[in-house]
Amino acid sequence: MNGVICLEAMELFLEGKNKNYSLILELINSLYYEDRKTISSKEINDMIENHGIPSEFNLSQSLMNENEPYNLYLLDRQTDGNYSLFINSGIPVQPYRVEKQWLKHIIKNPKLKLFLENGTITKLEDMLAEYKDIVSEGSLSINRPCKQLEEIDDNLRASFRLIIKAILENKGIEYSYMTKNEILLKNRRSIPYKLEYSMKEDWFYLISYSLDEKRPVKSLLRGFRDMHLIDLEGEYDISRQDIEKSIEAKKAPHPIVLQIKDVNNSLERALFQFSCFQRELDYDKDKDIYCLSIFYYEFEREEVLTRIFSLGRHAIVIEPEVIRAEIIKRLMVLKKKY
Amino acid sequence: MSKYSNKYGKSFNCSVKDYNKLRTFLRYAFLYGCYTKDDFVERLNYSSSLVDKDYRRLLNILGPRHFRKKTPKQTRFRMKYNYYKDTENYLVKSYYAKSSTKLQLSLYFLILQVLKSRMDVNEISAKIPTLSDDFNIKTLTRQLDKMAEQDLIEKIQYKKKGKLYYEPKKDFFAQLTDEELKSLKYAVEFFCNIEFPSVPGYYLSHTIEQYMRYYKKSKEVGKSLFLYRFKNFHTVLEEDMAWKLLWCINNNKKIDIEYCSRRGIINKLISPKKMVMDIYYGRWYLIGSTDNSTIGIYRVDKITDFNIAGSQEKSPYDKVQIDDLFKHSWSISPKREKEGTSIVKIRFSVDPHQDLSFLLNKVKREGKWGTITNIEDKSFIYTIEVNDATEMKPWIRSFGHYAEVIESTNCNLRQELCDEWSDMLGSYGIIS
Repeated sequence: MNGVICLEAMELFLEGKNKNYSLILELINSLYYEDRKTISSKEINDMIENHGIPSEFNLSQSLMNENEPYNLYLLDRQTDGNYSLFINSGIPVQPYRVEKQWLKHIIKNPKLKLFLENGTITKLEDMLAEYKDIVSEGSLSINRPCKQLEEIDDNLRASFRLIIKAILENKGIEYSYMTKNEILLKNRRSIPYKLEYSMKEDWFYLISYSLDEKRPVKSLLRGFRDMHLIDLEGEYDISRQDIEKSIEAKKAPHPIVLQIKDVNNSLERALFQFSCFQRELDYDKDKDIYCLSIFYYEFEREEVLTRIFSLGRHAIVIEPEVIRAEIIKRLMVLKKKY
Repeated sequence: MSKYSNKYGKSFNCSVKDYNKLRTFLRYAFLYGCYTKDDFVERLNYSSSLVDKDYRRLLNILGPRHFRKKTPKQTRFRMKYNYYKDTENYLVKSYYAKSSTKLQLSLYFLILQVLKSRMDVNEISAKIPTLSDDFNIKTLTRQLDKMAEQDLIEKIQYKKKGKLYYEPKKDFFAQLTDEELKSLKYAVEFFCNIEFPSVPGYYLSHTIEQYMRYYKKSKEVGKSLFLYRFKNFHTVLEEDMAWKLLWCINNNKKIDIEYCSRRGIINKLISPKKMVMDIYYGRWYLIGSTDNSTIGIYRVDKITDFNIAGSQEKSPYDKVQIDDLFKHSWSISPKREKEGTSIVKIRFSVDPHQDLSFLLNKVKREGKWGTITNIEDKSFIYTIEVNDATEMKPWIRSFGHYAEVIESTNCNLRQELCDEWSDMLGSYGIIS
């Protein structure tokens, strides 16, 4: 930032996080902590390539001390042509101040109890006591569409942890499920795929492959009861890739195309709120009109319609015809009400 | 060495000193994705060579797989996003691109390697090879102080103006068991995706991963456990600025901001008071007061630069007063003394064949501090007091035919929406 008194304490953009630093840390620590104590020039070049560092940076020459006056003197060339550490010591791995300040902010979040025991949270509080708060209620407020997880109950915590265990250990789950309409479904079985957190609803869903219905299902985490793990080995031949494919098959065949007039920031608002969808924006320079194509899954159709309605008069659905007709139908009802 | 090389010892520097250099291009490529090189030059005040440089730089930093070229006539700078495939916010990678000189790079590692006990700068210097002509005790001290400020090493001074010593930091994670560390890693991975700011969380996640690798010999490749629905990637682009502003708020600094307003670029001297993150749109706001005691709301993506302009004097707005101003803010509008607040009354109803509960639950979830009354079989009434009723319009519209504004004080929201629905029907070719 030009002209700002940039004290290190207020910096988030840090040199030490540059990928060159990350590569060198890996290089030094693998030579120090792991079995091999030397590295060839080819291996150095391969590491640099794997980290995506362009050759024009001349990092390999600097590391091999062949780039005077930009040699790093971190490695020493041996008689066999390989390189060892110039100073035989590792690099301590420790968080920066900004990381500790962030962690201090996070330990106030009630959702942390889903992951950590109370004793661990107390331990972290003690470890971070000397660090100043950078994010506090007074300095930052989060405007959420809704807040639902302000408290974590034991049932939710137990379901959450068991599902994590199932995903990590490739297990299935057997459970009862209380639907939104308070109907208890018993003896259900599924393979957990991922836990989905909705930023909009502040709530967790489990995306799993239902062994009863033979399809992917999305269930509210709070609906699970009496859950336990089941062994899948040999019995069910469904991989995570299969689950991903069956979700992908739910994609709508055609995108919804919106024509947007850039009046009163409507284009920007549309782009902000559809940034979490797969989308493409095209601009017709001659007509000064933008067309936003939104690619969506069938199970999210209603959410997309909701967002289109929220944009109001400056966003009009061009295609597909079936969505256009649905919008018109709802507008007719609205017009009658008003 | 190439004749084009510079002080970094290279011909083209993919890294940048100032994050601001990456923000704008990334924002247009990720959010818009429709602009060509000509558009950047004509509409966005870029020079042709700057477009090439920024694109080349970002291709290197983020990797080519995130960019998609569509070439009807010219390349459009467009970034890909797929919910189930892009679970990681790849825009965070732009924070791993701060430039440094090779001398800084070398010193950083040599210091961490030689500093094994309490040492003064001369003792440290004696253990470090002579790196270049630029290298001297002053350079070394500067680097040591910077690393102490970043909490990577400890700086000790026993007496005021006494001799300075440096020593290694205690192992921060040593107090945690392997199991606790593993659970913390999953927690950090989760929170850096859902909390604000998030970039330090991504840093921490990577640090724990390295710690587990070298100190715990864990080669486990973590499984991806979560998906984050309705997450806006672009919020990280403003975090460099947001973090600095948070620091200024906490340290009572007055700032001079360069702001991109509707009237063009303006400069404003303000006392920053609070930041607000709007999750739905993914926007950062700064609330600040000016010398003539007016409260201003500034979008952080429109703050192009700022300078610290001294300390804040006693301000007419303390935390309680700021909270009071925004108590009835639906989004970001403060209380307006002259107009006062508005009361908005909405009837929510479902079709005869529909069950009301989904709508009732949705309004209970999203309706903030509003109250629900007159619950009948197919409808209910929702009432709320807000600073600015027009801020509610996108939310009311999102319900479509399920919501009908009955009345609103201080503005005719019902008429405004009625006009809007007529206009929309007109745009669809229906004359009402």
